[in-house]
Amino acid sequence: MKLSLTPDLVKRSLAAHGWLGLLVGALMYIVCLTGTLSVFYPEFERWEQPGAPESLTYDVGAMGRALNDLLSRESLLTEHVYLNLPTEEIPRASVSNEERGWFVEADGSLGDPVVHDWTHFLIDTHLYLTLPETFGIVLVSALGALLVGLIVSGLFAHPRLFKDAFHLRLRGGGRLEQVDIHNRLSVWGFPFHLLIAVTGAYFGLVIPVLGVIADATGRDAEAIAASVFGEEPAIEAVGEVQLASILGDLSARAPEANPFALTVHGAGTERQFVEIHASYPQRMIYSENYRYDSAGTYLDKAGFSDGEVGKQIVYSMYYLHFGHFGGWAVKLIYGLLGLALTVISVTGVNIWLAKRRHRDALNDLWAGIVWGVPVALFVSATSQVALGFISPVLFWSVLALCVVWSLKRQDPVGVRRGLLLSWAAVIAALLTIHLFRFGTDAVGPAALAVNLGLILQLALVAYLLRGRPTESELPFGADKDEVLEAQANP
Amino acid sequence: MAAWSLIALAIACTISGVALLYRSWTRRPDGARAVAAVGWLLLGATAVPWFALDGWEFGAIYAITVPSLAAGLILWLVADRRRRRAEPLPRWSVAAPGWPAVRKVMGTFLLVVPFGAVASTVVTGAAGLLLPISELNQLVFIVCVMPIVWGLFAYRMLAAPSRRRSVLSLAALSGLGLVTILAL
Repeated sequence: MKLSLTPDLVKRSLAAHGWLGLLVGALMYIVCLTGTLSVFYPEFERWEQPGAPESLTYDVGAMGRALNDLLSRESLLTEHVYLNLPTEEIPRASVSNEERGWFVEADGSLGDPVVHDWTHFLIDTHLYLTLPETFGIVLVSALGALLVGLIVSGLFAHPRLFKDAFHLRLRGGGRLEQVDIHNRLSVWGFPFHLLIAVTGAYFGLVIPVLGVIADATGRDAEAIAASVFGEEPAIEAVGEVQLASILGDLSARAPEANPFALTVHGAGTERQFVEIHASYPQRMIYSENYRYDSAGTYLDKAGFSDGEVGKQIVYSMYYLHFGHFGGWAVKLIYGLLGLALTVISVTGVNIWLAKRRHRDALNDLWAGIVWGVPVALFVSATSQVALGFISPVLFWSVLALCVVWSLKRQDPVGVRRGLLLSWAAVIAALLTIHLFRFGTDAVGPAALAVNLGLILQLALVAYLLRGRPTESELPFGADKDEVLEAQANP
Repeated sequence: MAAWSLIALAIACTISGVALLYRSWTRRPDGARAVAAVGWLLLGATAVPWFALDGWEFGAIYAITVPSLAAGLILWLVADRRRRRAEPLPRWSVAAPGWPAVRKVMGTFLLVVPFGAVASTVVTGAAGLLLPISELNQLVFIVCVMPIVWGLFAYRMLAAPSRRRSVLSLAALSGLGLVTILAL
């Protein structure tokens, strides 16, 4: 089957695809890689503190005591205070303010501080590229919009879309191999990639776009927000949060709702009220939000589960983008297809580099970025586990070192090998330090999945090192067929 | 029907569907189009057990993502792994880009990013506000569709035979959108 695309349209689409790809290349790669890892952020959070108390059941009285304990400490109060109830993903209870949190012990006392700094760094890198949040999230979301352009231009640039759909030549690093990997993963991953692009763009563009529309039409932006999230309620009862009353009422009011978190708004003020976040079975919405005053009197609900379609769509974006529904199977699907998008980002630039029919510093720069990012990510993880220190400066410094080394060495094949070995060494060190620091907890249920994932990464590195290309089999070089074709048709 | 049997049915339909597409597109059997049509039909039919298993919201995601994995598996199995020598590419010194090249890149960036963002916001905004739906749904429509329109505009500007004409037409469309928004 052949799509009816004119050669001229194909050529122009290919040029547009190249322009867009180069515009977003390195940033897209970092966002895709960190996004793929972020799918597993609950597992990373548990892995960072494998000894934290875990249980799927909890005593409501104990949770209420912990929450009111935090609310009674004036020095720790912030506008919002949170209680996270145990879930199957994270079977841990914790209370927190806007700056820090503590695990809740079985008796309701506050336990160890919650320290998920590497996981938060990973998510921040995906959401903001570690830039200031307001700018970073818009930049990353713009990448989502441009990804839509890349998907469309890629489809129009491929006249043999169906005929080649199962054509994959893995021939040791030549350009044709890169082209095949890029095209096949793009075509088969197309629905998922479009989904990720649109939902990813939503997070950062919602506020500026609504701001523009509100300004242009003279509407009140706060009123727009209130129409989605509800207006601040008039409160009569302020005091200790009666959690048992609230959860009891919720259970009677919405038996199918599964409460997993609670937010105290206006904590410690006369405006204080409680919002319960509850998930619904087989629903994509992140939560339905039920609001109560502190005494447990029901106020209203947001209507994300049964309100206007727009509300339901807005509150479905999170699960759609991060794949946190349906358990492990969905996470694996999102992880694999996210990894495919990461590979597509890399092979796209590889193809452009190979097309130039020469090598220069750009090849070195790209090799340093591609193989330096995983090294930098896991050096930062090792630093967090070993020293409790994490900083975007560390990540970017390690990446800069990798790039400088690559530029200095001028040998992408050698750099690839060197950075793969470094990646393996960092993973081995991370595993060893984690085991040394946390002992049997490192192989317990909270950390085992991630540590097995790290061992899998070692296997992946071994696979990538296997059949190492020699100088005459350069990765991203020209395939013999292409050279012959070029010679025959100069 | 038990959960495991629904999963087995969905996976069987998926693998069969992808396998039929593989047969149709690579082996070119008699009636290749019919074989492909059955393949697509089976892939579409996977939605039924997925919906029954976990509702239509989750089921739709399973139905559009699992075939990608099945195709990936088949690709992996049938990949041509005959290693060929690749020719080493000559090494050049990196050439400092001249002013025309820098201007071209900057121009493309300005067109695709700031201009594309503004044009898509205005055009989608106007289209959304004209829809006969509630204000909230209009705004959600604008926010969800705007990135798609931005991407399409970016493609349109870069792939048009005449970039100048394409930019001018988008600018005119944006102007119309702005007038519409201000008039509402």
